[in-house]
Amino acid sequence: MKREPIEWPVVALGATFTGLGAACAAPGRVLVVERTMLVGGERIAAFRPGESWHRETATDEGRKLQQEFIERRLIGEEGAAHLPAMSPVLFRWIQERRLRVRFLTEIVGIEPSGDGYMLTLHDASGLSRIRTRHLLDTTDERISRLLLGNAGEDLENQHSGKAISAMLHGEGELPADKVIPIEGTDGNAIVTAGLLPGEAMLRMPLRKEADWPEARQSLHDFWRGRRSEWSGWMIAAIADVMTAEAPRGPHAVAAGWTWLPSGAYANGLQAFDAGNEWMRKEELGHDLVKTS
Amino acid sequence: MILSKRVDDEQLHEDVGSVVFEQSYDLIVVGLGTAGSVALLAAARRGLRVLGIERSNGMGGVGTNGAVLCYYFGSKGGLYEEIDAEAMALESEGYAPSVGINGELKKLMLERRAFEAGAEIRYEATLTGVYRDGKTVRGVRWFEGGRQRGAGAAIVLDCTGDAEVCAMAGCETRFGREWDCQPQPFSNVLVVWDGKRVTFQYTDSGYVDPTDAGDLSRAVVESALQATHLKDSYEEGPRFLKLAPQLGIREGRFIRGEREVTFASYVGDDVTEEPLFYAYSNLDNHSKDIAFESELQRDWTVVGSLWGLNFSVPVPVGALIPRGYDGLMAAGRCIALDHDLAGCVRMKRDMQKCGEAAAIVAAAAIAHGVQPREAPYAAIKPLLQETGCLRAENHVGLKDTRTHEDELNPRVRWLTDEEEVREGLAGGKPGLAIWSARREGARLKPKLKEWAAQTADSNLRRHAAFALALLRDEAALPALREALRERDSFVPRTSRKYNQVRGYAAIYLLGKLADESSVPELLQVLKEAETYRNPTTDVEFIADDCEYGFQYYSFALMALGEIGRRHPGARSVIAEALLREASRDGMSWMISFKGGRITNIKHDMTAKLKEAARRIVQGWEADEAADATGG
Repeated sequence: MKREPIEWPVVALGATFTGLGAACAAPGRVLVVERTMLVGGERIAAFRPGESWHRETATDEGRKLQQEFIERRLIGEEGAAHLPAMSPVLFRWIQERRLRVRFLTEIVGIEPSGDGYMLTLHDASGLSRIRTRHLLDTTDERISRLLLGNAGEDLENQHSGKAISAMLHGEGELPADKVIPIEGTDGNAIVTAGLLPGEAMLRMPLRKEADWPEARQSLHDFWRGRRSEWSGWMIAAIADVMTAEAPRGPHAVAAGWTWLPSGAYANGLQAFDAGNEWMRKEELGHDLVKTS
Repeated sequence: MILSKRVDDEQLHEDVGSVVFEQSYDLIVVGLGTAGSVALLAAARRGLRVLGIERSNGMGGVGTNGAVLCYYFGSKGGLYEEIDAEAMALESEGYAPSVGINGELKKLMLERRAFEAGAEIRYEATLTGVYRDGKTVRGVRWFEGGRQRGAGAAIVLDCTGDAEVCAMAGCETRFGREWDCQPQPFSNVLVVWDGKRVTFQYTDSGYVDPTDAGDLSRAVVESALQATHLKDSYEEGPRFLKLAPQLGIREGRFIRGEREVTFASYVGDDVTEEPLFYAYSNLDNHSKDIAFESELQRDWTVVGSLWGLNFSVPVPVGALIPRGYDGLMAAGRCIALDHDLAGCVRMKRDMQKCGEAAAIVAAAAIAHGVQPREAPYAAIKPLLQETGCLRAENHVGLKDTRTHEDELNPRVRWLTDEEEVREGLAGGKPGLAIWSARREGARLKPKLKEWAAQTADSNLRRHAAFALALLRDEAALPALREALRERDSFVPRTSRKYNQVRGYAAIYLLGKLADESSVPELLQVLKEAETYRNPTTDVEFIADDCEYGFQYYSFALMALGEIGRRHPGARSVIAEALLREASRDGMSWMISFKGGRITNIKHDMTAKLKEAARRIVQGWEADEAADATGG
């Protein structure tokens, strides 16, 4: 296999809306590393609808992406979105803009190296190493925190609010009260209407430490025991990504290491803008200063 | 101890000295997909201390994460049926009706039952190394939660689908078909709501090497851009629920096993008397460039049009054991098959059985204190029969499949009676008779020659010629040349679909017999194939004029290659034509993959054909150079 160049100015962890936004700002300078084969997974595969997708975007690229979503009828006039079909659009952007995205690849090691980091990656071809000047972690759980000692330990407790979601299907209107108390807890599940008729997304909070077996079983038990007004609504699909609430970034983890969680925004377009703006200011500004 | 890893696509074996594992198990199952999930459960229920390592966040593989919710043939019986039934029973507890087996609920039930049985599971865990002493595997290393971890085991079971554990450990493996190492096509599956239920959609999306990271990334992106996925508007048609988070890979690496289960061994009746289970399906090859498949597969699929004939294959324990290795087994689509037979031995029912059988073998081996290859079959067999994993009635032999409702499909047998063979050859469904004649060999040759020589019955003449050609008898040539000259458009009805046109099947056989006198006519086919009009009606295999011409062209190309290989005197004429074709501008062969006709998704095969032409000529040049130097 022909390997990528070994030096990347920026490595974005996560093919999230933020990660792709950063890559779009400078396609030849950002390598996006994504553990799964998902794009925008923190929204799309997570069934996290957000809101106000129709509001004005902050960047040119964000505006173009929004426009394409609108043209393909994926965003409604009131800002709701049909999430599942957004994936192919993002894949089209990856191809058209020649974004460098490595799917089914994960970072398994980080070591300081010069003024940046040496990253060890693992994928279907095995282990490999690349060097980067800046690691941009766009995951909500800040998964890079696990990789290097105490880096960013002051941020340790700042992601919270884990949840699992499901895509519901039903006929007719949703019940008026879309907040559903969860028996035996202080928490509530929340249902949000999707863009298309019959489509809604259920979000059920979990313990911060909940793993996938707990998440699946909890969701199953909760929905099995749901109130009668919800009996006409059924689980059609379960999210492949759990969500976590993260504080809006950017957050400096260490020199050359930033956490910019993609799920911290009202919708994927804002997250995309955040990555795009960050890349323009932080990295391109850095180079402009160097060359001026 | 050695820690074996893959680094930059190469094997690296590091001496790590003495290793004491923090955790040790009877069995570690790497990959909890179709085979691995059932293996984990079966092993735990048998009292093994078992760890499952899975890269994704759920069990079940292609039938859950991959969203291929229905079954396509495979043998019934086994532990998986219990899980399927439980999953379906849960649907009434708040889930939308689903086709097949509800993937979300199957994932839930597999996990629930695995935990109940005492299995340990590590999700989002990535295999990064294999520990071994020589050729004895001792444990595995994986990355999870930000750090590398390791554990030891008496037996490691590779259920990764692509034999990743085995490849890391240095086992011999093979990949793809002989001509160009191409595997079967893959699919990118959509989960949708069709107005009544949750269902899944896919077309075949192209080819990918799942052991190549760059190719995987390319495939992930490109397959999501097909017209089935990327639409101008999503208001009409089935409502998207999600893109499956796992690609539908049909074929990857195979181990080289203690016993190989190949199509040649099946065809030659060289099958085990000690099966772990029976696989059952047709030789379901999704590719359309069958001119490049093995000779045996072309004999079966093109000459016999036997794509739709289902058959049962007994699978022995030796196919689950990498050759020469201890402490290591494989289960799932990566067992010791060849590309040809893997078209049959890959269906979900059978892969689940494979996992169950592997667990039973492992348990028996551990109980007897031996390696898996030495586990006594007499001890294993009753355990396999207990759950229905191994059932005598699954060994159906052959079935003429007309429907996916397999109970309705009649059993058939190879013909031995001369009159039955004659009747079959003379009819519109000659495939069974053609292959039966091949099996009978010399005994039927005199009659085959008589039938191929007469001219009163065209079907009898040509189909007898087909059988003779399979027996490499040149008495077939007159009728074959005739079929070529006429561009015989007859299509038999031997299979429910994917029957092959007699004209280009004859071309294949003329190449097989290296008929030098056919060269001018074959060169003419190359020139005119792009002008052919498609008279066939099986649109799933030949969708339009271009695809019809493609089959003629590709078979003519390969036939010329074979003739030139065996007749050096013919090479210069052929080579001139092939090199001209290889550089000809304006050639365009746009071919749909299976399912693509419905969506008009086309794939460009032009480069493949040009490369084949170049390669044929270069092969001769290399042979001639070697001959000249006496090498």
